[in-house]
Amino acid sequence: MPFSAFDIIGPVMVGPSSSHTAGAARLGLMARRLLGEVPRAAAITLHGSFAATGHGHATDRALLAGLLGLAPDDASLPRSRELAAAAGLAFAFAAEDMGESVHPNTARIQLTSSEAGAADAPDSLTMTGSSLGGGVIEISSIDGYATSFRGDLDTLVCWHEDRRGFLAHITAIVACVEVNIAALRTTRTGRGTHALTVIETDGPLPSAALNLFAHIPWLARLRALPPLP
Amino acid sequence: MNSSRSSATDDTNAPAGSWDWDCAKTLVALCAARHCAIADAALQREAAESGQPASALLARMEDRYRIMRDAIRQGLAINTRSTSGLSGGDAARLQAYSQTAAPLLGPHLARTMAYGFAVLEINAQFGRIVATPTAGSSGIVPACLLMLEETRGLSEQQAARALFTAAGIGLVIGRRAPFSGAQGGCQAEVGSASAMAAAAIVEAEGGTPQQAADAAAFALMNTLGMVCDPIGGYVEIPCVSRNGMFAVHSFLAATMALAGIRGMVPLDDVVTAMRDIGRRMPRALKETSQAGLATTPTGLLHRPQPIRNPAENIK
Repeated sequence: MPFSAFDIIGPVMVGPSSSHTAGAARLGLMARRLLGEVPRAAAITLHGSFAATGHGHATDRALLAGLLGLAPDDASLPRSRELAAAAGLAFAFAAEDMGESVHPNTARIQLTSSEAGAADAPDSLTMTGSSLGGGVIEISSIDGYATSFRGDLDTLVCWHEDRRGFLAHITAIVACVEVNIAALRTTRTGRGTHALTVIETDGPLPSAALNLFAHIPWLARLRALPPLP
Repeated sequence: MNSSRSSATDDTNAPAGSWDWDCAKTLVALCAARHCAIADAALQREAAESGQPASALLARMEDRYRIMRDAIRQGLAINTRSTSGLSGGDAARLQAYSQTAAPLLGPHLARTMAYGFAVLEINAQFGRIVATPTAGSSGIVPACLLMLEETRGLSEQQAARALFTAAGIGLVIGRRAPFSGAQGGCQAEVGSASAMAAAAIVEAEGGTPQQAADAAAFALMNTLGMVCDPIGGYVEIPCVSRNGMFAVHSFLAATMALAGIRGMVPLDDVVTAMRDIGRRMPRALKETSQAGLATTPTGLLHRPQPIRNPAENIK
């Protein structure tokens, strides 16, 4: 995984910890983007160092700030508990030992959407991610599907049926608009059941391409995410 | 492996994608083959990776340098304690001491420390900083560069180049070892930052890429074994003073390299040692505040608090 010079000299962020604060804010922001709207409720479980020293590092406030859509360098990050209350976002934190093999800065974020049943909006979303250091994050699971991406590139997240030809449809559309695929990963619950595909690209897809995805019958839900701030 | 790689990069018109390295040896060889500094290599690599022109990348890095300098200025003005009560006001004390008639070892020592303190003090107060490479180590590189600006006339553009040198060394470290205290202990944070700063100082002073890599090795070698045991789980004790003191340490390592001392242990080996030591370090000493300074009688006065739910919040 190539680092950017701006990952090493950066991110620009509100203190005090790139792992616990900036990384946590990015995790929150990614969860919000995956849900696709302002969550109504958030249940956040913290593991390892996140749980042990998250208070002093404002990990909770950073996660909430992300869920509210704030970037890691937003000066209002320290006030996110108040902002969440004002925005009607109910939240609860819990600690859990997820095991020695789990990265010490890991959070599982369970979100409930504000308008259950709205078009293209899921009732809920569960994302697990870790803060790897220096503000770099890795998403390891979405709705129970194991995955691995960092949110630093343009990313397509597709919830779909596990059907023959699905990836051919997707990659054909991406190829037509001449966007390079940096990484692609599909995880499924079982053969011919449901699957999640995450595609990272070197650059955004034009909206015309995104509109074409709507014609793929097996695609249940799509998120086209720009790189995280 | 490295010799074959470096010979493959002899052509200075090689495709842009070949501006990359996975270790210091390759980086130094690449610089030698192309007669360039680590700063140039890191800039060209970024240009190749991002597709953006070097001028835009330099401008973006200058922006980061200005944010760093703002953080120092804000930190020097702090006269209140942080929320935890563990830090605040010491950067100003060092700055004032550096301005007295005869500060120990001259004015530069105390002032370098003051700058490192300042960034971490503003960091502790939820201020805006540039994680370099992490927030807990964000004072070291800025402190060194502002000192160079004040004592050697480093311009903003030269500071931006120095930040690319630092990034080039950071990449060498980050490819094989963690930067976070939670994974690698404080050696991974402060040690990496100090190594990056030492190399940046050397190149800013006109030293060679090899000297820069040696300086980074000296700095990192001298931080091996440093644990992450912050009192109360706050990025304040020992983090604030470590940033000030290890900024000075970067100047010491750079001085050794500029004096012509060759590194016995190359940077790549030191990075490997840092990674291995970090792996052997128990979790209690990796940012969990379950040992070390955090569990001394003094440390226990500030036990990490669990993150509370709103219903439990007492107004």
